[in-house]
Amino acid sequence: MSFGEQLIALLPNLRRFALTLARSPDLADDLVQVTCEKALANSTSFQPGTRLDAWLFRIMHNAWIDQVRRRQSAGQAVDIEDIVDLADSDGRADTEASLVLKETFAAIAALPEEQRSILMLVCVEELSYQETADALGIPVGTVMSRLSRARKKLAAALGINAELERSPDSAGGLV
Amino acid sequence: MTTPYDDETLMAFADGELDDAASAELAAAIAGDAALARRVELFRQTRRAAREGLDALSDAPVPDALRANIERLVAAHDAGARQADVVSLDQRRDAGTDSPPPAARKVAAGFWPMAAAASVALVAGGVIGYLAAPGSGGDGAGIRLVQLDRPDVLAALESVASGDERALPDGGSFRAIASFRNQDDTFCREFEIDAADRSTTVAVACRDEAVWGVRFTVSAGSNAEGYAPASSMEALDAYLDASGAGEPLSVDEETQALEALR
Repeated sequence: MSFGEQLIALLPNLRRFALTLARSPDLADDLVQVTCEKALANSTSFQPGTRLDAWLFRIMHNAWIDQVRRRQSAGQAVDIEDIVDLADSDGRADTEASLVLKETFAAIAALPEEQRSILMLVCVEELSYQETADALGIPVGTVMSRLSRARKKLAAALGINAELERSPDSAGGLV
Repeated sequence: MTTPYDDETLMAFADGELDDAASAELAAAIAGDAALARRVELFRQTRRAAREGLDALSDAPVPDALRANIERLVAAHDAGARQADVVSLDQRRDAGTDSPPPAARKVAAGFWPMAAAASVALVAGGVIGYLAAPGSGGDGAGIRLVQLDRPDVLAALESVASGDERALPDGGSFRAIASFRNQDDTFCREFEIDAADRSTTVAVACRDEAVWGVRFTVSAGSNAEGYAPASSMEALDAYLDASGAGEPLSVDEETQALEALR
């Protein structure tokens, strides 16, 4: 597959990460487009043999930071409901399963961006901690601490392992 | 009761990130410790929940318009690559080895022929000079110029943090967008000026040898929201790509760089 074909094949992944970052379909589509433009313009600097998706996520994340800084003074508003609706836009009935998904989605959308993006890259795109650190330009230790915080928050929001919400120390006190 | 395993180690185990030895040791510990097992389970379950929750996003199809745009970009890129030698040897030479391939460069040049050339010489003492809108000189019916050689603009350039805005005495406002370093490590700032008549000027100025030089400017015209429209952002992006601009500086880096100017 040519570089361009691989890029197109990864569009669903790119859009998913863009939605995770931007939480607005319009902003996400802009972000995908900017990312693809930059990727094509710099395709020669991609190292074959490394993960193309990780390289693209890095470009996207940089572009996002850039956009965020540009928009800061405009008081960019983000509507989490929009994105939750989007996740639910295939007309599924509100079965119990889809309600759980919606709830999960809302809990993830409510995380800070720095945690959301890591959660996405590790748990969904299955990048390693190191690949995630490279994509986001942060140390591996930071990836781990943010990811751990994100998952504990997610667990709390979803009632996963509710009995473990107590810290290990207080749990120990109960023994 | 304390445990020798912190959350991050347990998470790394659940994610398959521990090496074989550490992983085997932890697996043995978990076998004899239900509480430890439950803590690992939290990370397993949240991974699954995140995947299922976010997978819903993949079910939302890529919009046709977006897909069509990208396919067009790819086609233009592939076509450009075939005529690489003809199109833009000069441009590549200018931009150094890290330059994007010709197709993208061609697009950039096509947008705003003046962008790369818009390096306005500055007078010592911090005068920025007059900026003409790219594409000016066409109709001869009077070109609107945005004047930047004013102490208030210069002061704002050296003090307003990116993301902040400052009102100017003439009723306009200065908005700092981002700071970055150029290929040659020159400190540059991207900013916008809303004139009192609602037109917006997007500009990049770099600090060379103690004076500011304007490297890029585009007059974005009037805009109800006081924000530069997307088309001028595309021109700016093309310029930033072509000039080898680095990533935006962090808040701390920018603060340091601004302080160093004083």
